[in-house]
Amino acid sequence: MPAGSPKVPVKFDKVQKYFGPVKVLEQFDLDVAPGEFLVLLGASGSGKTTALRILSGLETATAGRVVIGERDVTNILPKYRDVSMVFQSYALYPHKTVAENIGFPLKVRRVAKAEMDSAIREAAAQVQLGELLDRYPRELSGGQRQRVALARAIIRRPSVFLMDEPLSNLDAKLRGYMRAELKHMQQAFGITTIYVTHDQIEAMTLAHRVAILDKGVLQQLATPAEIYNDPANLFVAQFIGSPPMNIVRGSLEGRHFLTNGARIDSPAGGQMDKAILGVRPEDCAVVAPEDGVLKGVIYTTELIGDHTLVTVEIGDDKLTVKAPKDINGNQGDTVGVALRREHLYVFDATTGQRIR
Amino acid sequence: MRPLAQAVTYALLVVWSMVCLLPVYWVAITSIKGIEDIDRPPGYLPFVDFMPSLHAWRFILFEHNENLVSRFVNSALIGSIATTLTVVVSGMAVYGITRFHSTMRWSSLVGPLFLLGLVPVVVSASGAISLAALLALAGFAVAFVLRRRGPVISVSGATSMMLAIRVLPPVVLVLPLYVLAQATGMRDTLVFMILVYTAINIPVATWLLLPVLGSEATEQEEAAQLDGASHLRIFFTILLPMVRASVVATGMIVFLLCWNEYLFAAYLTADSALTLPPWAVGQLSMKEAQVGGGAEEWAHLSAATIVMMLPALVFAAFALKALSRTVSGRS
Repeated sequence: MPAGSPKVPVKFDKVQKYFGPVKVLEQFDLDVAPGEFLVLLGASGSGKTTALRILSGLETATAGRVVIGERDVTNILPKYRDVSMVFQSYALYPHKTVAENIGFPLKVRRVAKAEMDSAIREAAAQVQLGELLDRYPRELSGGQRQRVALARAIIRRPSVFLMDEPLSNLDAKLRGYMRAELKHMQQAFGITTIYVTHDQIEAMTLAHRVAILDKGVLQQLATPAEIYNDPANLFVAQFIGSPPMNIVRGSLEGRHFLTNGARIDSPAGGQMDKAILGVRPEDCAVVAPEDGVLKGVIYTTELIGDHTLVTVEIGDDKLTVKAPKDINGNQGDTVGVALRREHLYVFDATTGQRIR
Repeated sequence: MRPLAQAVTYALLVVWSMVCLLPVYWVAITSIKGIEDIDRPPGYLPFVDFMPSLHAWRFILFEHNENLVSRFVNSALIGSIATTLTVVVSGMAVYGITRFHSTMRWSSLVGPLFLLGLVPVVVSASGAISLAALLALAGFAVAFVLRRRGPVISVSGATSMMLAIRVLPPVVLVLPLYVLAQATGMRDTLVFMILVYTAINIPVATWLLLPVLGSEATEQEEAAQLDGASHLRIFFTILLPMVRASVVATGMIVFLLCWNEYLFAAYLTADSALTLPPWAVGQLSMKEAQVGGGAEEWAHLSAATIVMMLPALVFAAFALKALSRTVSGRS
């Protein structure tokens, strides 16, 4: 473990990327702190992988700069940028053994054989691959292949780690295990890491900060807690959280949100004909019709195990409520929904921006 | 399948196999027929219709002037070296054409090139050529004005140009190459034949390798780029091993093209670099070409033909083995 290896910041400066007429990245500004684990989160086509590839040098930006440490690397070839990348499908060399795969970055730099061998053994030990050094990739399981890719990335101690959905091809149990391993390794090495994923659980658990992208535009850059509790707009609010945040349409008048005949105290003030009230399922409760601020009819109930998801139909909206597991309510019952006032969010229906 | 259908299928297959294999069989037994037997009514089975004799084989293998072995060695050397060069060069060509996208604009390149070409035209002062040249210049000026953006040579453009070269009848090239060979004193040398075969086969090899190496950079290549490998290293140590089978198949095809090639070999070689096809057709059949011909030459020719078929048979065996391996799932 490199005790004194320098931690480098990374910077995207107004990066734009067009593929022909298609705009993939739009005015992308991002500052990654040294040693930070930053997750680029977004759906397919949001531009997150393109941003990663621009940072690695495999794509060139149409406009803007990329800075690693003190160097402007916008026009520098990938091999001179001192970055390592773990690909989604691992990109192992099928005709080389595990040891040769791991040692390839050093072999290319003409490192002496003895030094290379000890580095390979050390890297393999760090990912627990010690006994598999003579196997070929086709003889390994998915998790083992992924660890080979990791070892190949760490052997050089680069300035920046890039990871492109490395856990997508693993089964759920292995994914959980590797998540913990990745987080531990990043903390131990302290190398600036940029991680691309569409899985919000990975983003929430691994990241120091999360950058959410939608259609090439950065929506919010904040810690996982802030993203969850303080979303900047409707897209972020609905992307994070499972089940997703409930949406109630209505209008905003002063400090009150009006919908379906109900009048709810709003955390933010304003005057808007079309507004949206957001509330997470765990911040709602199913109560007697006269006690709840909203009234509706039970649409369906789903027992998850440790809780029940009750979907309540209120006018045109459906609210999902996390209720205790032993709640007894049937489809068609009239119920009330109580909302926790401190956890309400108001959004502008036309722009999606959060009103504070 | 029902027994009747099966019987009919097998019968058809047997008949067709005989149609395909009978000529080969005929050549084989002709090569072991005695001189008298060749002229007599056809004999189909050795030991039954005629007594086999190895005189033809002995003649072409050991007779000093008509030596098969040196011709075989010539063909093998020229074929294998030319094939290797062709495949390497074409592979690198495909790699270069598909992986590096030029951002030069049409106009910036075409202008200076055309001006260069205008010089001999103006000097020759021929009316028709000047007119054609002027028209072409006008066309390029229009292109310049329209400022067509895009790579100078697109992938399909470059490969189409290469294929167009192959469409050119080789006979057109023979005479200029002959003059070139005489002038440089390289006529009838192995080196010259290797170069010629490489040149004429590069378009074919490029066309064959395009689907193999031509797709956009695979993840392994990208990973190697990030690991710090140069493009040359990526090409030879990462890409080629991954597509080994296809490259070998292309090599086999190119080798057979060189092995069977008659035209260039006949004109550009005399004795020391002579390859099998012109030797078999020319030197070996000299008496037959004259009136009253020599029956023994048919036996010699048959024996030479059998030897000439050998590489194809060997490759077919290899291909079968490789095919069955891919089918069984070995990556």
